[in-house]
Amino acid sequence: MSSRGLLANEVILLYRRRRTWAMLLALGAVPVLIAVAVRLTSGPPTGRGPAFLDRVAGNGLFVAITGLLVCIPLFLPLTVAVVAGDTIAGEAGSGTLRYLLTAPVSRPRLLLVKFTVAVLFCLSATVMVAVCGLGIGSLLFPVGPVTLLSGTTISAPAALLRVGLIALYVAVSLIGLTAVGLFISTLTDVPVGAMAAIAVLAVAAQILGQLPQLDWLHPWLFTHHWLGFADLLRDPIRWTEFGQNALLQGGYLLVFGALAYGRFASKDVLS
Amino acid sequence: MKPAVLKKWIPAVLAPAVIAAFAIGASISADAQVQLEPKTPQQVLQMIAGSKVTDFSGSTSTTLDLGMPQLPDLGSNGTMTTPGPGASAAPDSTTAPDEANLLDVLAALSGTHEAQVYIDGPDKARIQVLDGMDEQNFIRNGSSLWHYDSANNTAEHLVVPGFPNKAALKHATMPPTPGAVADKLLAAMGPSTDMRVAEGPRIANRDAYTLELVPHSDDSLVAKVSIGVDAATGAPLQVVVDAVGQTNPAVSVGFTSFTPGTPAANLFEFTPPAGAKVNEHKVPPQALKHNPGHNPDAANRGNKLGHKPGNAKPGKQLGHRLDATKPGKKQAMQLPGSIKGTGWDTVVVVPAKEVPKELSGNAMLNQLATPVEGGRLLHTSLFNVLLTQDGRMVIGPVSLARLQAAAKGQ
Repeated sequence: MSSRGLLANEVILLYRRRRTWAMLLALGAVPVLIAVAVRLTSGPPTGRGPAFLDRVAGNGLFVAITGLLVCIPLFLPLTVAVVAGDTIAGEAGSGTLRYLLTAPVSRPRLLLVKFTVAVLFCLSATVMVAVCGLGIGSLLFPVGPVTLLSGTTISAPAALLRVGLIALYVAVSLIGLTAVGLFISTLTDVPVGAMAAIAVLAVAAQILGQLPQLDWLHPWLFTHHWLGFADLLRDPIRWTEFGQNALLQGGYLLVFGALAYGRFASKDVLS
Repeated sequence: MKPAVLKKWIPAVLAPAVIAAFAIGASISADAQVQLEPKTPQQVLQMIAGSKVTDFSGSTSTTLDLGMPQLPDLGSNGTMTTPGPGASAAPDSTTAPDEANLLDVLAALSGTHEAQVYIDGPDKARIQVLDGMDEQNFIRNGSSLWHYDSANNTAEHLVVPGFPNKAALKHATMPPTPGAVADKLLAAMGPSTDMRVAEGPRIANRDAYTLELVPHSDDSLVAKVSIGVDAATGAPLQVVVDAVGQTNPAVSVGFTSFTPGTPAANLFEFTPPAGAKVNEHKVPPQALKHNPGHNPDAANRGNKLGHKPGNAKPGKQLGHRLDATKPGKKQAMQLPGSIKGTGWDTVVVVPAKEVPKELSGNAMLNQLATPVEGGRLLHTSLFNVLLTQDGRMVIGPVSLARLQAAAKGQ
């Protein structure tokens, strides 16, 4: 089987799974819930609740941004943990890893394909939140020019571009966690164990990021830039955070990708 | 393990090594100073004075570490308000509201704050204080001053006809740029200071001279003030104040990136967004000279802004703070109290009736202050405040002993 064939296969497998769609729909429900809650009540007073929530009633586009903001700390990492934890451990657990490897596919290539599919899921997850947010936002609220944090007003299409950038930013932010998850997944044959470990790591990293005593560690946590997308809502856009985030996630990808390769390539595949 | 198996782990070992090498290499190359032509402190001062950079943009980072415990929300009782840009626009405003908010402001400012700065000549400036998911904008375009706060979507507009008091207004209304801070420090220096040009790091990826000012005083809490000066343009890029007995700098204001050149003109044009609450203020020229406390309009302005610790303006308040860290004429103008000593040892004694009630009766402050001989002491790494038993307040960037002596009238 060619590598491209394998990738296509895996992608189809991912999106055929009922679990994948259950997770994506659950994520999509978050902005819908937010929008409905704001519509039914009069909306929170200024400055209360998550950032941007108070702007939702005035402009539906903010539903997508608020939805992403709310999903980042827990919901997105949870779904990514499920997908990343399942990559290798899932195959090993169900006894299909052996058969995958009997096909003329090298182990690093399989690893790469599995990782690519997991990253694709990260992107679909953030796009799902953004699209559901935009959809419900335009249904329930007026949509119009958006006021940026700097006080500048941009047109709705330009604002759509910013929402897309934020979704991309969040997806990139999850690459580090996906790489860690891939490594953990090579350690065990029990997918549930891998998923739990990844989810715990994501939460633990955020808790560490809250402790002022550990501030030397903060720039190295993969969660450090998770909430940094506000810089994309400034005028002019500040790309520093985007770049630092990409660099950090790339570092995690390199380190944990190499670790996963070391483990997976040297592993005895018995199941 | 077999060698073949070990080989599979080579990338896992290499990857962190490569990243470490990359990180270290990047930091070395960023710090590597080319050999600069040696200069005397006077020459560096002349470079600053002769700096022709009037147009630039850059990012700044401000860090304040006064060695105090992290403080809870002190402004929650709602009785305290920060003087807004309007109230502080007058250089001779009483310090009562300032001092009442001392803890409040310090709590909000401790830590690191980042800002984007755009300057185009003397009368166009924009400073964006990045505040997590919010942003504070200070925009000056000629005689028009805007402050926009994204947290509550409010804009303050101030038109100063003719700009009678240009320098004062600019300094008081805008968060200070490193250049402004350096100017103030240099102006306050006297013979009581040792000056030298030291080996320093590159600043904002630019070669820089580091001018060090060391107080000639046993009592001063200021250990050292370092001013980083851009070697190419003479623009001050960084000011770091070190306190005695503290490893981390007490105050650090500096550029993390600096680009000479005129910023885009539209950055200085501000139209309040639709739906924003806009407070228009007109300042008659004489209001800038009189005490705004007696001017109902100005007082109102200060209150309208409201306050929560998160939206304090780091830069601007830092300006006040730096003023207090160094002695000088400015305090003499601001404080109703008497001045004792000169240079770095300057102490201000505020008479009992002038000490604001919020300060003397502040429960939080009572907890933080420790009883010492002659009163209660509020200690930070950069300045001490002594509240004497007879209700006076003695404040200065000096040791407790010096404050006690000043309280006794020496």
